[in-house]
Amino acid sequence: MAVHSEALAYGHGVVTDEEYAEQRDLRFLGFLLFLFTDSIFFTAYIFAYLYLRNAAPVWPPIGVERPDVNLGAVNAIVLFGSGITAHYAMHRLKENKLFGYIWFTIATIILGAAFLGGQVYEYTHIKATWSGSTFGASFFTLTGLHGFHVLVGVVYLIVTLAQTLAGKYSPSRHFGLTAATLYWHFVDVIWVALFFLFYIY
Amino acid sequence: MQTAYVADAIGAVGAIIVGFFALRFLRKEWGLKGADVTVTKVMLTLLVIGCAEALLVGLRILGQTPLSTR
Amino acid sequence: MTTDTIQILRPAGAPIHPAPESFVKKYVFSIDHKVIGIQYFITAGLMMLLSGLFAEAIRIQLLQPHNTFLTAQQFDEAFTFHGTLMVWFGAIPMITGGFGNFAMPLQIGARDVAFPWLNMFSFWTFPPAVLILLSSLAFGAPNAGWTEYPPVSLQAGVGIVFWTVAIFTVGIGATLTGLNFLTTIIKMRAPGMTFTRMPLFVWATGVTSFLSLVATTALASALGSLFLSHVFNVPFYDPARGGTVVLFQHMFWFYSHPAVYIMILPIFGVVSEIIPTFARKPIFGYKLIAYSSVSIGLLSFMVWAHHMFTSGLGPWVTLPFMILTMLIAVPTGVKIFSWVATLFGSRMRLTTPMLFTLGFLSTFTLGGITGVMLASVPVDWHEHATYFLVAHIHYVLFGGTVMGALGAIYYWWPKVTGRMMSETLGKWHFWLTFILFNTTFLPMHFVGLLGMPRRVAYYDPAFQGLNVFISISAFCLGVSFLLLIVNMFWSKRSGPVAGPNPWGARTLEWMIPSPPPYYNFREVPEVYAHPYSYGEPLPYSAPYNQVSTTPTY
Repeated sequence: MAVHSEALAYGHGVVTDEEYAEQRDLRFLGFLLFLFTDSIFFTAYIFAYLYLRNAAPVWPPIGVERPDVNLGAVNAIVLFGSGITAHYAMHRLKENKLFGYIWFTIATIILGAAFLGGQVYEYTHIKATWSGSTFGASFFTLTGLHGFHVLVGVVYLIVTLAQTLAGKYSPSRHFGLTAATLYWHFVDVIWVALFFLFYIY
Repeated sequence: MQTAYVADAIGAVGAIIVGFFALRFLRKEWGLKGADVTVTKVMLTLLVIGCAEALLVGLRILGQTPLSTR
Repeated sequence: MTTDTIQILRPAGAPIHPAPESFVKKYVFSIDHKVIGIQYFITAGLMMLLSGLFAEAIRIQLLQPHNTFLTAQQFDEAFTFHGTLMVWFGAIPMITGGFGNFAMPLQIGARDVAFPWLNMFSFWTFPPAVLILLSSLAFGAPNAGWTEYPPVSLQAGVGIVFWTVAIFTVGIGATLTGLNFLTTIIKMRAPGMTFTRMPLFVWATGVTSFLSLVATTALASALGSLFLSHVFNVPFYDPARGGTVVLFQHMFWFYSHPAVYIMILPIFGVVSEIIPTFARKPIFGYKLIAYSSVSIGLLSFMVWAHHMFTSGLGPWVTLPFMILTMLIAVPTGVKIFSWVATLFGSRMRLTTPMLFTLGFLSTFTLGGITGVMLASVPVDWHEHATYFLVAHIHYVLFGGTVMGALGAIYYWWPKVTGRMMSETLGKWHFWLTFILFNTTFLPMHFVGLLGMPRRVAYYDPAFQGLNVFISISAFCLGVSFLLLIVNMFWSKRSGPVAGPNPWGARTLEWMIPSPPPYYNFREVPEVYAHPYSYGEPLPYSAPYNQVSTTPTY
């Protein structure tokens, strides 16, 4: 059984469906493992936040105000909405409605950028500083890390959108788009946890 | 104060809309099998939980803030 | 074995790509796991030699109770660099990046790892990280030990910035390597190779990869918090603004305890390969050894606070960690008993790899025993941060990791280079290492019990006799490494040609030429059983079952 004994172009040239399926299989697992390890990164800082909060005599510390939860809820809905539009986009792609995919992805990007704008507003209006207290330390580090991930996600979506417009993907071969959407959902889900931890709890 | 009520309303209504669409997707895709479908279902479920959080905040049931009153 | 009994899993491996042509593609930015493995090995080897020089500087300083060879500041930098280089720039890259990269894909019958370009990228995070760390010597070196606890680590100027950035950088490579290997092992095994037919080195590498993947990111968060504390004055660890230094210890040790298992589990895997080969006997307890690796991996995440027994934690915290730490000795003991049972009733061939493995068994076991002693909270209150702890660390890390790694080097050298090393030089190397290692580190137990703390440049004159003895042994031990270097050069120049299977082993890497062609396996092999049943025919498809398992050396 001599599978792949013919020298085939590796990474360039024609890739058979079987090879694409194999590579996609590997890359999907690899990407999931990457998201898993990223979640550990957040979990470690969440642990630090809960530890510091538990050690503090009063929370929030004197002179610090917690962020406004109502505006935070609106911002959260913006981000969750972008998750729905991203999901719609993948649906359209699989039904070979490329136009639908493009418009829903643009909607996702706009909503993601709006979320970032909301975060900037939050940062400039909250009565806490990064170096002033452990509240500031936890809040700005965690939400900043998350905001950085959102920014990366927006860039990722823009890049894959450009690739789609250039014709790189098809309804049967689109792992790059699956990965971008999964990353976006991941960023969404992290916010579910952070919103609860900082705005509600 | 006004902004708080407006924000509440937008938050609650938005949560209902987004949550509705998420639940609709979940119901459509519940039976499908496959690794990426499973991951998407998990993510959507967590997103529904997020919408529930935002809804409860919009209805003033949860959440602490200096601007809103109970 | 008929074809009906084969369970055909996914065919393994990427297509055979065209051979790389240019020098840069062949030796610098190669995507071939074998070349990358050698790159890791050479770089990590150099770092360990450098770290050894720092250790010798420490030992020179400790020849006298109040020596002036190093200032206290320089001494602090010396032990910081020794530990940092050994852990993140020596042991982990050599064992995961070096041995794992070279041997694991060959053992599962694959043509490369799952993401070869990522593999190359992971390696190239390593040399820049080294440069960043070493450049700190010019600008203000870190000097709070390889553990860099705040507040001391935040008081020494920019050293901490270099330190955190360097380790973060090499940590990215380590995490990606873990991701790469885990995907490879899960998805790219040869047809027929179920998990219980994998070589034990692959089991070990798999668990280690999971640990690398999960734990290294936790380290990244600890490093990030130190960086932010120093550069942006973020008060994680400043009590005046609500921070606490114990938090760093939790974050740091949550990674660093699994890290020590990253450094030892693949060595357990190598030992599981070497012992059956040179005892010519089936391994005792294949499943025991495989599953005990998994349980060690899982338990390793639950014991981190045993490094913090003296940090002011309450008994409701320290007691569970004490019990779990003692518990982790059980799967380790299962392995040791299985190896010894494999040797029982066998005709051992005492080649150099086997000698190092036997040495490993004795020294690592001693280190494990002192570990169980230290796991007891009252004992640790007395012995923490003394030379007793230093002795324990070095018995498990040198007596375990380094001895096992040396065995692995002698074992796989013929496969990597196609030439044999000199047995005479190897045996001299082993005996000198084994004897001098024990004369260096055994007395440290006593000097620690007598009360000498670690990381001190000046000590009570009552300890001088033992310290001088230790230092002289350490110098000789350092020199004895030259035998390995000489052996390597001798082998390349005039070592006998090795052939595919000089040791008469049975895992797949010995069924292909030495050194292997760039594509490893021309045809994808099929596997029908695990490889350790000495006496039975080889459990592979043709042509991989035709190599002789009679040792030629």
